[in-house]
Amino acid sequence: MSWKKWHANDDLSFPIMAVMIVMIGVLQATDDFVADLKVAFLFGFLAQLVLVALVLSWGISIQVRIVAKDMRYVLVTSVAFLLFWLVVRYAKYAFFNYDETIRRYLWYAYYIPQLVISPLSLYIAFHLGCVSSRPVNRKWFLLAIPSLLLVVLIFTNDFHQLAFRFRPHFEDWSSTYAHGPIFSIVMVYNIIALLIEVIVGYLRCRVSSSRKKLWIPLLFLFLGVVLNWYEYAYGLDSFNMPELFCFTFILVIESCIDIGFIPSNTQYRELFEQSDLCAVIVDKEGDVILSSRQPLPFDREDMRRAAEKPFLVTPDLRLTSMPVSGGSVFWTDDLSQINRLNGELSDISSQLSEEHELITANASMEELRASLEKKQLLLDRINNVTDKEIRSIRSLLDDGEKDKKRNLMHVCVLEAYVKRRSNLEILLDAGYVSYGELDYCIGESLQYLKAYGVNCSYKRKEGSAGNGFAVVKCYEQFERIIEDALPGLTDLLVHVESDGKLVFLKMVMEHPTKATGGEGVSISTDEGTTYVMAVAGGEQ
Amino acid sequence: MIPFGEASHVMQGILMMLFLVVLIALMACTLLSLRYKMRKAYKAGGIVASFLSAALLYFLLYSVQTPLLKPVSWFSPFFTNLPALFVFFLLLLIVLVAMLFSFAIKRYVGNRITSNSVKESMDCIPTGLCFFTEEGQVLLVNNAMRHFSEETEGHGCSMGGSSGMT
Repeated sequence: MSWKKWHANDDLSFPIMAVMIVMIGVLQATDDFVADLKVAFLFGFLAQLVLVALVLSWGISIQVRIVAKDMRYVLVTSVAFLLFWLVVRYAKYAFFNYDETIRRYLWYAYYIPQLVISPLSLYIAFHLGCVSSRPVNRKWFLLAIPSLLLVVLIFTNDFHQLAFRFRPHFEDWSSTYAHGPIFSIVMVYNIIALLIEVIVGYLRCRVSSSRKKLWIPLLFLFLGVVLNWYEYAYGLDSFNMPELFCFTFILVIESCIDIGFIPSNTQYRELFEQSDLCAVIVDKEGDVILSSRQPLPFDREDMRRAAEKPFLVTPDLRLTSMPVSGGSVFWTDDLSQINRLNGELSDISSQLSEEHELITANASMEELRASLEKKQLLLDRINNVTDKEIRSIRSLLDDGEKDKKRNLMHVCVLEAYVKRRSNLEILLDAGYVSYGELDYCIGESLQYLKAYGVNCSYKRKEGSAGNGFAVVKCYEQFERIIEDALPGLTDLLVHVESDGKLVFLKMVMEHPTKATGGEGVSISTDEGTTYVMAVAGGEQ
Repeated sequence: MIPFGEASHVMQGILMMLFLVVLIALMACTLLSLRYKMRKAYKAGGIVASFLSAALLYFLLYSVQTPLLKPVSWFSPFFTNLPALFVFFLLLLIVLVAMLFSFAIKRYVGNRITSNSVKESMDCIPTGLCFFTEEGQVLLVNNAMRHFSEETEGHGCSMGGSSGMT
């Protein structure tokens, strides 16, 4: 079923409204001149029905056309109160002819729609031009308070007669009453509301693109006010005040809709059809009712699947569905850009990952280089501190076959020093040289001295050295004294002790070739026996 | 049983007022069925029911006013002699017809794509849409565009304002 069959005409056009208004006027104007009472009565009755049909048709049209929910509720509520006014008015004249009290209270009830429609019209004026719907702000309900108060005062008029003053016992009340202060308040309230509506409506619409057509609703409003005043002052055969009020309200609102101050949905079909969307609207049977300019290239099976959950028709195209009133809407989402961006993100991510690996490798290389440099420095220091002994070893080895064995023994003594001194340098670099390390160093040197033919004895007193440098200096002094003492040295007694800061090296040597003192070293000789006393300590 | 013509005037008035209210409801249903292009049976039924109800109200109304309107019409005795309870049941019958009619319309409209369905559809679509005339009058804004406008400009698209064109 096509859209056109569903919607031939959604709005109540001005010509139809005009015909109905004229019909009401003619029926009401002629009923007094018809001789047959049945026909005259029928004319009045028909006029009421046509008026009700007009208001109903317009109300239904509003319900169908107005998109903004708040505006729709306000307008439909206004229509309901207009109908209430018409029913009450007809009931007063036709149904309760015999009871004056009921008639009077029905007359009072005229003021209910008047006092309700005023604040509703204010709301409409303040929301002219709003395209989107929003919930009605609760502050607007405060306007109901004065309206309600005035309605109560009107309905209690029989007790205080401040709205309308009647003759005693309400005699001939409908034609011989005078207005009181409450009636004036009601009128002032309505007039102020009307003025605010006009001013606010003008201010809201003067920035609008449709401001050039602002005169149309203002003209209808002006004509309505003039006609109402005329009818009140002089009376009209064809129309009474309720009808004129209804016509004014309908024409003003309808003209606002027509020129765009109150958004309506009359063009939505065309807008949907002209849009660049790739979408269709289907009814509950799945028949396509409305399609955009780019129709969906999918069949019912695809739509059935999409109705359950969105699915990818192609990697770059997703079909989605959502239920709407009376059916569903289907549309496609072009994911190509998203996929492209995802791809770019993936590439960037992998590039970042590679860069991260490179940075990590560089850091490892730097670490390795630093470590190697450190080791190189250590080796350089070791070479520096053992340079003299290594040169002595080379010299001894180059001496040829003469005293080869003894030279080798001597080399072993030097080699032991080179080895142990290197160890001490490494331990110094690591930051830990213990006092006990002297046992290994001096012990190994003495082991090769014994092989060389020197009688050796070693003793170390338990304790602790202040730092590693004292231990290293002690061993260096020991080696220097030994190298001086060789090759004549025959007996050697070594004693080491520490006071916690300094290391004291005491040596007793027999027949040393040479024994020289120096910084921290004292030498004494007694009957061929040499006594050495050395002190090692302090910083490097 | 009390004839309708002899019932109290208040009761007569209340019954006829209720008749008018129900007639208005029936007319509303009929107009809706015409507007929504419902099946001919609904449209014809609505028109006939409205016509009969209006005619019944007219006859009742005219008949109870007969004492004031001379000469008495030919149909007045018939309607004034109808039992008041029968008139009440007629009223209930029309109420029932109006209710059934309104349920049928509600169900029919619920299964129908309307202009508001188009707006709902536009609101479902995640692409921002704003339609406006050459003069800048905003015709339609969907939710995505409204959210975008509120995020970027602090308020929704409004007619004629600078935001309406952005």
